[in-house]
Amino acid sequence: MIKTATSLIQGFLLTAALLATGPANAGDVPERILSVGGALTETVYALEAGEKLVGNDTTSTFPDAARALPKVGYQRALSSEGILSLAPDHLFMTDEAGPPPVLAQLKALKLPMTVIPAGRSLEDVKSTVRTIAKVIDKEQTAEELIHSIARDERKLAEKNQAVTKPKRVLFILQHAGGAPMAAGLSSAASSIIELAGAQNAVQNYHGYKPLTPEALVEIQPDALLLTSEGLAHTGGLESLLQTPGLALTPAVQNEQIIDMNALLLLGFGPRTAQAALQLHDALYAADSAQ
Amino acid sequence: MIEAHNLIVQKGRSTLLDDVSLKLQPGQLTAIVGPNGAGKSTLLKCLSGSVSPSSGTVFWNEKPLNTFTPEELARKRAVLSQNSSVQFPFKVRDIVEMGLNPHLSTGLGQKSAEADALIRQSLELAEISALRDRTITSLSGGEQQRAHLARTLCQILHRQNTALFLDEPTSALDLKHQHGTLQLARDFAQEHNAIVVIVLHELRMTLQYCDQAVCLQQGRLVEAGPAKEVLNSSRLAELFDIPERIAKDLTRSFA
Amino acid sequence: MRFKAITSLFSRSNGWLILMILTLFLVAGTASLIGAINILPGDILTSGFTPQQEAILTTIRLPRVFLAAITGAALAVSGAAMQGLFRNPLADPGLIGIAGGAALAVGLVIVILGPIGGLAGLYSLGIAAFAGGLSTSLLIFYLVRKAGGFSVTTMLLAGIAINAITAAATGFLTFLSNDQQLRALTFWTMGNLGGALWPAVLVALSVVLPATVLLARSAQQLNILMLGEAEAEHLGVNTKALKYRIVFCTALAVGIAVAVSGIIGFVGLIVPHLIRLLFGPDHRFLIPASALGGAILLVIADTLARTVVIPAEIPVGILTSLIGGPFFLFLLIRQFRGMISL
Repeated sequence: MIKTATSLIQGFLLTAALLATGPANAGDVPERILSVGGALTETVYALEAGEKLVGNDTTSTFPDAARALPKVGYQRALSSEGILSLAPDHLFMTDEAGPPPVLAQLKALKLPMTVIPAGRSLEDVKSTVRTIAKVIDKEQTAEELIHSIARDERKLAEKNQAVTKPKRVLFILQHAGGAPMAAGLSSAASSIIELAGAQNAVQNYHGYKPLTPEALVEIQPDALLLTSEGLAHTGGLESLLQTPGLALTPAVQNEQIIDMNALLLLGFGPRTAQAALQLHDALYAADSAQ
Repeated sequence: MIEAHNLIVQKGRSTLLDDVSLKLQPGQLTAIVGPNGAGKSTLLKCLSGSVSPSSGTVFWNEKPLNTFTPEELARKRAVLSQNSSVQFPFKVRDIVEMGLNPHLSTGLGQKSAEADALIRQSLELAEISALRDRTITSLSGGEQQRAHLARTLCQILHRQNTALFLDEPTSALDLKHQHGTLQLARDFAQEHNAIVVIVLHELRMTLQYCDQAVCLQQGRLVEAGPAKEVLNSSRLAELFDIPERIAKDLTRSFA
Repeated sequence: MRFKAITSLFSRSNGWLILMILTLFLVAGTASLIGAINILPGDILTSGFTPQQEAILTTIRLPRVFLAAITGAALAVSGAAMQGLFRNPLADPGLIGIAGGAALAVGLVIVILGPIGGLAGLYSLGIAAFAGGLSTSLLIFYLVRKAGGFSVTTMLLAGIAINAITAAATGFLTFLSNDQQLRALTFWTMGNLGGALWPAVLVALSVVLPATVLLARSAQQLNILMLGEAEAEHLGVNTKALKYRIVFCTALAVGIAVAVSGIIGFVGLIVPHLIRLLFGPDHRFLIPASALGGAILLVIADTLARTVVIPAEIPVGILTSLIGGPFFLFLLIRQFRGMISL
């Protein structure tokens, strides 16, 4: 009898203490934010709440301040103790974060968290901004941010209207080992290419696959798109041009090779509309000059 | 008593044993002799129950051998095979202790005083007490053979009316230990009223120590009976394809 | 009589086992206090646990320490039994295809099924790993029986062939996978105890404990098997039943270990090897000592894995292989030198 009573009291005290220390109290604004996912971190900074971040993950590389924060590792291989050691009072993560048992542990500890699906469109970007803004009480800033995204979106739409013949763009993830990994449909690369008013040169598979040199020639892309990181990692432009078959594509013959920062290009964060504009300009600059 | 009735063992197309029948009496040391490939080891394996004949039956006190469970059989008979090599560094004493395994389920305590005494006695009989704490992998071939002999003895040492099967137990031993082993085999047969069967190439020793001899040639039984009668010089000359003069030399002192 | 019983209880080998049990408790206790959030023994004594400490201890750290101990014990005991069964000190539970089959099944779930939500997502990889590992070893078993008899050599060859096939199939899956799937699969094969939840601990314990007890009870028979199969039969050992029992217990124990922790290398090889080197090959000591040694080693390795790069963590399988590999080479060289100088 007494045992039950004490354990009940203990349980109550534990819950009460967690409620008191944590921000589980409805309406409380989180002060120590942990953000897992490059786009989410970027959004928190864009909403002028960067100083509240206590840590992020290995994909959070923008802005520079984000690089200086403690990293909790790769978003699919999180560790609950590592996360807790930063004493966050709110956790933002994408639906790709895991592993599931670690998330279960964090839920058992009643750590407040918001799971946000990884974006593939500007609508997704706006909804991410709104979701995060609501949690951290920055809805005013969010409206301004969304406004500027919408402005870029309109600009983009105008430019895209002017395109008569969409360029066919091949996105190469990495090209070490002779067979370049190229983006197919339903990839982030495919989405940004279409957003920029162009067309993915690969139309017959989903995800990323290594291409044989012959397929490369057959696809005949008008332009090559790479991440700056991917290009640098495998020996830069020179090594890229050594890839068999690549020299026979119009992209290389017309020197239409574009590289952009990986998070900017594929992150689907607040800078995505600008990234699409930038990509559009890089693709069609020569045409408009004529 | 062990009786073998019309044993035939075939492996692939070759016949290893061809219609062998014989009787083995308790208290006697029996040698199986014959040239290489005569089927000596195969006969030993049939009699000890480790190989089932293709046809024919072995009876132990009128009970067919294949009606015993492996553990029942292991409490009645022990076998020393030609080459048992152990790759792990067990101590000699541990190897000998393994001989007690079949008796553990019938009340012999694993670390009991009785078990200890049996192990000590077996080590002494096989003249390997001095090496009891050495690892088996560090011993010479002959020493290893004696360690396994001790293990084999340990398995049936405290029983009467047992059977002991030894397949070339002296192959790696020096002369002193060859004689020691054969003396041991004969004493064991007499003291434990046991059937002891041995495969042996040393004909002089066979004549010197064994009561009975079973002669095999190409899987067939040539003759079985008292050693000194069966292994006469003309039989040896024919069996091993050697000049009569040499065969006479071998048997001279035992005639 | 009674005095004799007491002295035999404290015989040399039992003394070592008791020492190892105490070490395990000490190591596990220390490991429970160390982590990204340290708990100082002094603080506990003066003011007790804070609610946060208590919550971390009960929901994260204790299940993790338990799981590390159970997994380490399962891997090391299985390694000891496999080395006995194959009469080869370099044998590994991987020989009966558990790790390969589990990796293939996990790859299938990650790459073909994609992310699974909810409760199913929580346990899907573990269940897939267990099913994949067990069915692979059953397949090897079936092939060996089909090939006639149950010889250790056929088992070894069938194991190698099946492992090659599962490795190729897993390779094909990595070819099909996208970036995230590839990383998830790679991380899984490097082993991690981070997902320790109480249900997983209980399931693992309820499989590993009986399997260990059963293997420990077969210890003397395993010793006898070292003489060779024919000799073991002569000594009344039903070698067929023994081999079935060993493979069955090992498959279950390693299957559950892989299910809860991914692939953790070298524990199954190095722990029994070390114990054999220090205390001799007697399985009556080797099996319980391997269980304790494996538990101690993995609790230490996992504590390192989760504290070296706070707030992130290193996959524990990398750590065990990174430390285990050179250590194993050192042992081999020392052993080899010893043999020459003899």
